[in-house]
Amino acid sequence: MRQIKRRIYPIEENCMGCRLCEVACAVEHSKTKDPISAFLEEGWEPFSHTVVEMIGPVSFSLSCRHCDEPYCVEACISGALRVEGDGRVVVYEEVCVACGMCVVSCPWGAIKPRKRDGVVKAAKCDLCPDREVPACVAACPNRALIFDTALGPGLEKVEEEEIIEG
Amino acid sequence: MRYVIAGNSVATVAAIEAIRKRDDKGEIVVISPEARTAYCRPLITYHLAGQVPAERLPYRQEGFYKAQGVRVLYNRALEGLEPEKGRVVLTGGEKLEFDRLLLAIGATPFIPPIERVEGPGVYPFTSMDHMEAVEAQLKDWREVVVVGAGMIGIKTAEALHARGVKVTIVELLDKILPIVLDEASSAWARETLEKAGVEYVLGDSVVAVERNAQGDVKGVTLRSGTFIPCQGVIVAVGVRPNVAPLSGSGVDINKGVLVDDRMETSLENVFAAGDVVEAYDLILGAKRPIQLWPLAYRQGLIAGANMAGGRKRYVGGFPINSVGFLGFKVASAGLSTVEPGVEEESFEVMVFEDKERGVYRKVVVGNNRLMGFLLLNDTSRAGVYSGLIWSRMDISLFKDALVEEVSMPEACRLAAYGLEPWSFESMRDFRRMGWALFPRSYRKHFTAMPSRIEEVCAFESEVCTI
Repeated sequence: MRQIKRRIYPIEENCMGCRLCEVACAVEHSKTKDPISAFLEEGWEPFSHTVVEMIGPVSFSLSCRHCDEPYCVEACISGALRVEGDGRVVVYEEVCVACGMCVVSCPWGAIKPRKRDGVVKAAKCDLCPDREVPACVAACPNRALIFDTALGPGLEKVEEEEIIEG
Repeated sequence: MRYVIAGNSVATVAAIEAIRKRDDKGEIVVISPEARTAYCRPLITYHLAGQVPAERLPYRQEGFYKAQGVRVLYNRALEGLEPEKGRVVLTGGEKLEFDRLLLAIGATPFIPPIERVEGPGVYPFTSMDHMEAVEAQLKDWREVVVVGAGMIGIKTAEALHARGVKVTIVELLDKILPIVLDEASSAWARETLEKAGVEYVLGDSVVAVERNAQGDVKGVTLRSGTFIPCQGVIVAVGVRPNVAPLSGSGVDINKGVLVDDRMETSLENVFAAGDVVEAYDLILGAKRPIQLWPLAYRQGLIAGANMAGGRKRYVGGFPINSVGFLGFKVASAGLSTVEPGVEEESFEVMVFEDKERGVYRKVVVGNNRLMGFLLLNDTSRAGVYSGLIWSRMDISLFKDALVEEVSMPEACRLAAYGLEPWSFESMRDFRRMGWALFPRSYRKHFTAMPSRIEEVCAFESEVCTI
């Protein structure tokens, strides 16, 4: 069964560290989705799921890669993190108890606690369900983020045959 | 093909999902000792505290077993194993044949030798049954003694405290959360408990439970002779692999069931996963039981894949913990208890402490590999450290930057909270611990491929070298 697995990949050679992706993400995940009022909303601090990793000349925007076997899903003690049928890794906020296990487990630091209206929940990239192309990708002026919608190699089924024993 | 899975918790769920990815026809039978679906065991303390309603406790949505085509035998536990006949013995002598067996029978709470510990009023706290028993008694309890200040003990104490019960924690060692915290962070934890009004006794143990003529608990006596009045006792001094049903079956058992890297036991077609196994510890380089939720899931997934004919290898695991209680947050992994200053076994310990913000970061480096870390309160980047442990990468080039990081957003927040305004001078000092520090081949590989870090780094070593 081949299926579409959508992912966002950074290209660090193209990234100039402008952080527009962070702004776009924070705006997209605000109440009003307006660039100005998004930063003034009561109880909703601007929060970007993607983080621009930057040291000296090296910079790239890192967000959730929607792993095939996610560390966060196996660490979640409440079953709030799930892999959806289309390969997205999703937080079900109403189930999340903010224990922090996913935060300690994700090697990319892509899942973070977010406080909204006084309630802390896990928050991560949701690939912008309201948009065709995620906000960070659309905002990048230098094509340092690519949105990959190619057909994946099918979940699991083929993978084992490629491993040569011994 | 009939897959029999003994036990019904996270490893079972992971195994079912892994089997069904490869084999949609085989029959799966789950032997469930409890009359409920797999539920989130760590959440029972949240439920007792009233933070999580009962309908959110199941680990998977309703209809999970039906959708996966799984037959569940409720109220039956594994009683014995007859490998030569290929069958298991269940409660009541019922026998069940299998082609592949997964032992996910978990662990049982350890009850230390305490006088008069048997009887009403004394409970462990690892399952729904314990939780319901405690909840039923709660209206009669004004004071409770929690024996053990480990993960379960401290969360149970928090929950009971939230329900208005006066709690006293008794711990044999001289630290709160002795397998996670070091001296300095334990002092912070003690402060938190004091502020909340939870009492604790460290370096002492309960030797006897005192009961009145009816058999009800009226207090406990400590080794030092102190008497603590209470109506209930929670025993949370740890769990032991539940290997009793496997005696005489021929499975290799040390402390837990020994498994190879396919999660297969010494018997063919018998696999094991979860709290019952003794699997490879990535940091210590030896097999030992680590009873934690994420590892149980991983082991269940790998066991399930191998049972269905796949080839997946368990590279290893290490303890990862995140606990929050009474506003105190700690994230840790690996060898987090190594004391700074004490250069034992050539460990190098680096510490960053900021008393005002309540931030404490400690990383333990040994042989230029990250062996463990401990973060208090500011835990938002904890996972990046875990990734370094998974990769077993040589971190000598950037280990100075590991603890003293101030990320850009953090710096903004600092500025917003009334620190000095930015200058180019101060901006230069903002170093962040993050992916840009890591070797180019490593970050290129793992930002582009959705693979597991530990698997790639174990078999393709050039990825994580500079």
